[in-house]
Amino acid sequence: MDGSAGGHGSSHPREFCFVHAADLHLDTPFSGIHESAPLVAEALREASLAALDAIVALALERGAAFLVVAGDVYDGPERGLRAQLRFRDGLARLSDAGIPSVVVHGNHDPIASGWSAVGSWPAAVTVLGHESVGLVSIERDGEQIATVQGISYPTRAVTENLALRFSRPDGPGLHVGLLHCNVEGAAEGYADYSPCTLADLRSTHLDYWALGHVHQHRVLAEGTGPGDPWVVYPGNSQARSPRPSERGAKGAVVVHAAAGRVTRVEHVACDAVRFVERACPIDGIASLDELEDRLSALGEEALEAEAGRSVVVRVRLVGRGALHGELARPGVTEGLLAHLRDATGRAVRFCWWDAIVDESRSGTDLDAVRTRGDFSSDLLALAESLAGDDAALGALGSELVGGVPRLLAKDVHAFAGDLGALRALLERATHLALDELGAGEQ
Amino acid sequence: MRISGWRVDGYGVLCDHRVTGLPPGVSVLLGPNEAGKSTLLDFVRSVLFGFPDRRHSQPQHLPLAGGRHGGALELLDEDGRPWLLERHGGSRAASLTAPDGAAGTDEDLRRLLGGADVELFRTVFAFGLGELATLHLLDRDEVRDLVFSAGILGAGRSASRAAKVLAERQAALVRPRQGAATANKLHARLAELDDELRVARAEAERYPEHVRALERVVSAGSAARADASLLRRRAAEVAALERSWPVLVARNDALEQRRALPPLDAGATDLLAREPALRLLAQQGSGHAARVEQRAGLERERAEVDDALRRLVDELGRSATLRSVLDAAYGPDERSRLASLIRRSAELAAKSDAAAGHVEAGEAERRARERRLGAGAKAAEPRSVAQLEEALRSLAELRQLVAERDRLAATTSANEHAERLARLAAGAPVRSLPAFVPALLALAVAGTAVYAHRSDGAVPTAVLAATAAVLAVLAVLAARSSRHGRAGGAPGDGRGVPAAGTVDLDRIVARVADGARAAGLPAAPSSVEVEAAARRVEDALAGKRHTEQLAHDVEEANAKLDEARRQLADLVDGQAELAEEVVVLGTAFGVDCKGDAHALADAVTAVEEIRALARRRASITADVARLDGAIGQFATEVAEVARGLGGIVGRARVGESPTAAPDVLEILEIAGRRLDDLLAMEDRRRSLETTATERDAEIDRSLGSGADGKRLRAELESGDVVAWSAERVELEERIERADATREELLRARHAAERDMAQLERSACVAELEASRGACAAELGTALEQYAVLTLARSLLSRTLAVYERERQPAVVASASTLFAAVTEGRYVRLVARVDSETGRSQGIEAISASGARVDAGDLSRGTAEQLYLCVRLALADSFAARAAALPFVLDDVLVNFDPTRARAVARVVADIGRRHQVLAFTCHPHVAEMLTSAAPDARLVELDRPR
Repeated sequence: MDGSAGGHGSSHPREFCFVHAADLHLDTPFSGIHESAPLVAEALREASLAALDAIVALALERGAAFLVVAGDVYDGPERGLRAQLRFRDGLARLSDAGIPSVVVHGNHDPIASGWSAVGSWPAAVTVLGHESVGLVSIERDGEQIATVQGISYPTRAVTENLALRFSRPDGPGLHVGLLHCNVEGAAEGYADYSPCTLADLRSTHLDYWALGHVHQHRVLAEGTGPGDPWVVYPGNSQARSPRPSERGAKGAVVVHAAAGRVTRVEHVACDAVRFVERACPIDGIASLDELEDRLSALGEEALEAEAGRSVVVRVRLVGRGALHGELARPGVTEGLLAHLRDATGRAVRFCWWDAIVDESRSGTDLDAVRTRGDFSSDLLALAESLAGDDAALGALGSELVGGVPRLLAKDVHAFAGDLGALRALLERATHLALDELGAGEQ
Repeated sequence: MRISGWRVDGYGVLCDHRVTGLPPGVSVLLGPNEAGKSTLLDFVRSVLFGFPDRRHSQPQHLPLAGGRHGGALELLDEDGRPWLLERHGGSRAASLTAPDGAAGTDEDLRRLLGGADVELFRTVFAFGLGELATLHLLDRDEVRDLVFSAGILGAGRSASRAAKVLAERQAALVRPRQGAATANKLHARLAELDDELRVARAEAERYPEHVRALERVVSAGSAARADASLLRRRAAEVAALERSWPVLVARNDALEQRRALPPLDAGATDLLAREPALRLLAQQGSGHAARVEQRAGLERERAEVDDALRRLVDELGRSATLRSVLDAAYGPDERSRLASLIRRSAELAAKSDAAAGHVEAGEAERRARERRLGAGAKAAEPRSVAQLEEALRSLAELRQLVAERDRLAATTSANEHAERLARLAAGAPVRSLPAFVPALLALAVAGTAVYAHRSDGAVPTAVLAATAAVLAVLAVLAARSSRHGRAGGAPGDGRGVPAAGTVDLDRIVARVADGARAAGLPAAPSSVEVEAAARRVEDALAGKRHTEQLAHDVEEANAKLDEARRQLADLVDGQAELAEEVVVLGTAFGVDCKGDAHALADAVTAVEEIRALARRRASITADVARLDGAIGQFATEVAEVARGLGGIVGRARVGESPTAAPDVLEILEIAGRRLDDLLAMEDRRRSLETTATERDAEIDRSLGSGADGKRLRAELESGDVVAWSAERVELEERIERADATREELLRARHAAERDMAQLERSACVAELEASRGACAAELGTALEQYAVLTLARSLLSRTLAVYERERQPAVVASASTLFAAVTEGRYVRLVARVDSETGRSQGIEAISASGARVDAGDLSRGTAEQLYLCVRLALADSFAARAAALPFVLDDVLVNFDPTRARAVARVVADIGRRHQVLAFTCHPHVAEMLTSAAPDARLVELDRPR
């Protein structure tokens, strides 16, 4: 592809690569992780920083021309000191190696908020501001091989479509846009900050959009040549919670470029710990010992599947079976969890059991209960009626919130205000009530 | 279900107590006090639902009258089939026997009881006056649940109990107020963590402040260090001044002493300039003394040489003078000649001595030989050697002939003997003796002869010998003859022919005779004689020959002696000639040696000695002259130096005499001492100068150079020691304070650096956030569980409320009817108070005929008991309608009623008895009569007081 395509830029015979990372969320806690052993806790604490180190090592190893970081370097405006210094030191290593870094801030670490422990950045580091799109020219051997432009978030909630501020400037080499934004349709469940569309991004005629915000690795567009950009989310560098979006390999992308265009995007895992959720049916499992054996095997499989990395496993006990009654007894799942954790070795690679969620059900035949016309059937009818009535469900949620001390109300509201969550809880409550009534024993 | 009878094995006062055939309707059990009515009520409860355990407040009713604790109830189900339920203390399990004799199950028992539990039974169905008096028992959730739902639930559990269980679990998770519940604790922990996090974050965010603070501390530390450095520098200066002050004093002292030293005059300067020469002369002084001494020694030796020369010259003779000796020709030829003469003289002397010796020895030899010859001539053999040798040859031939003769004679004799033997053998007379006889005889004769010879006996040896020889010959001959006879010829052979041996014998005998004659022996000498004659001739020959040798030796000795004498004479002549030559040579040497070569040699030796002494004297003279030169030169040089000393050595007369060494050396010593003094003074001068210079250098080192050094030097020159000391003390204090400040700042800096490093390394925030995350997760889980429990409880409560709301009115209506009947219309209706929110019953009110609402609590005791009884009967009806009709067991519940109300109640009970079995215990016969009157089918069972 030559530089005449689209009339933008000029062909550049040089081949190079750069590293694109985002959403490092350095030194931030893992959400939803229960209490863990010291060894595991330390590994989890270090995970995001280790991922940063791995990204730096990746850039050094690949001889990257530069590194771009598309926002959310830190998890919050109160960005941790350790994180800031580690980030500074990492970029300093790159700077020492002659690898420039360009950084923008996102909604989690808006540039105008928070504080900075870094008095001065290393020479080859550019942190782009929020007032206007800043440009950084990347040169190699005296030749300009790329231009990176980007803008930081001034505050957390940026609703402006910042992508519209970007445009392709004159100049040779690859043109890279660096932005933390939510591209329409990229992924569900992300705050709509700096919302934009793929068309908005394409209209800038840049060659590559280095985006951040979405934690899954996404290649939204593969450019066909200069002016037709690749649009890429590298995903976050280290998973932060057991949520589905945080599962799988996390890291950064190595963007290969030649002749002024991107030729290939390579996702490289840099994470240290992976989250795994597994469902374990209890059907046919006769005893807790048998269940424990099953779970141990499941843990080993998880460790094997994520070769080279430690795993944090959350298991859901599903299905129906006689073991449900045993599991429903207070302290049983906790005891099982403790037992499994005790078996966690002190190896560098570990399999940590985060939680056992008992979603199993008794053998109660709900259809049979419905037709019995007794207290249980009335209770089931009531529950199903409530589940189908959003208002009633909402009222139930309010009851829940109101039934707890004021201090806990906010925490309860977190799920009591969510009809979906409430519906799931109601289902669990229905089964629990029926179990307590012995409905399944008739 | 109803009870048809019982068997009490042992229960309280009851023992082996049986009742059977109880009807389905009303049974009145009448008994006096202590007949066991209340005990029977508890017995029925215990067998149906189990014995109360020891923790329970209910009485145990252990057997007082014997029997096994417990017993059995005979039951009839709704179909009238008999069941037997047995239960005994110590075993909580009941034994249920089905109508078919099989063992019944718990489920069978629960079904028979309609799901009622002991509380329900006690509250609604089997109660005494005590339970009747209150309504609150009826408000218990479990009772209410069972009343309203037991029939429907069948084998289901109590919803209220389930709700209670859930509530307990809820309470473990969340409490309304701060408490030990999990969520409360987690929330509190969360709040703590938030606080800690705020602090940690605030601390982290103060990092820039730390940086600035560190910079401030570093800056202040630098300033303090600079201050301290200045103070130290000044303190060092003051210390240097104090340290340098005594040095400066010493330096000034040295300079003062140097100035006090006298200056050098010209002579001293000259002497100092001549120091090397003087040192050299001093070194040479010992050589000078040695030379003087050597010269004296040479003088003494020269005198001795002169004495020796004089003596030697005198010894050479009067004509000899030293000059003549020294002038005499005494060249190599002369010395060679002299040597030759001496050698020849010695040789001649030696030869002469040898020749004289030879002569003397020859004479002695000759005399000795002549003596030996004279001795040998006394036994001189007249025959010549040739004659003796001829005689010896003749005797040798004779010895052979005699031997031949003896052999032949022996042969002949032997032959004759053999012939005689032959004749004897032939009878003839013995012609001859045996051969051995003459032999033996001969031997005997010979032996005798020998003996006689040795013993010089009277028998002539020759005769005996001859006899023996003859005999021996004869013996030989005889033997030979014998051998011949035996060997070759017949014994008679010799007799006819003459024997050849005889002829030979004769011839030989003749020749022997000839020979013997010539030898002077008998005609037939024996071999012994011949041998003796031969030995004699041999001895004579040997003696002859010896004599001749001795004579020859004498002649030879004479010849040698003559020769020796001749040689001696020749030597004497040679010596004379030599003496002449010696005389000639001595004359040439000027020495009168009288021809004695050795004397000449001695004289020559003396001459040579004189000449050697003369040379030695010349050498000594030369050495003395040389020494005189050196001594003079040394003295001159010393004089030169001494002249530099001026009057110091004026008394010395240097150079006037070579032997004035002591003076010279004394001058040298005086000059040396003077020089040493000058040098010592100069050394002192230089030492003082050095001291001053070194002190200056030391001061420079202490005070430094440059402007500061000059300033300090000027300050030092002021000598203000007191001011320095005061300043030092002040500076020490100020330095101490400055050090303290600096240390403090350093510690502050280290602390700040440590804090910063700790902050930089700190995972505190991360740890706290992780802990917070974990805590929040735990809280979330706990609250979710709480929500599930709450919702489950809510479902149960709501369902129960629906039940109460929908079913309670029927119960209340039924109770209203019964109560109206009991009160004979005074109260027409009952109303349940219901919580508007939960729908749960909260009490009951009676509506009077006038419409007044009277709370149950406000009724009279009797009326209230009637109300509660009616409610129980209505509840029992409701329970019976939905679950099972259980028997009523009433323990004297009518005693507080007035007769009218009692009869009314009796009628109600009788009416109930048509639907339920009623077991009415009473100790009052009128109550029994009242009941039996109201229920004509009632069975009256009279209970006796146990014995």
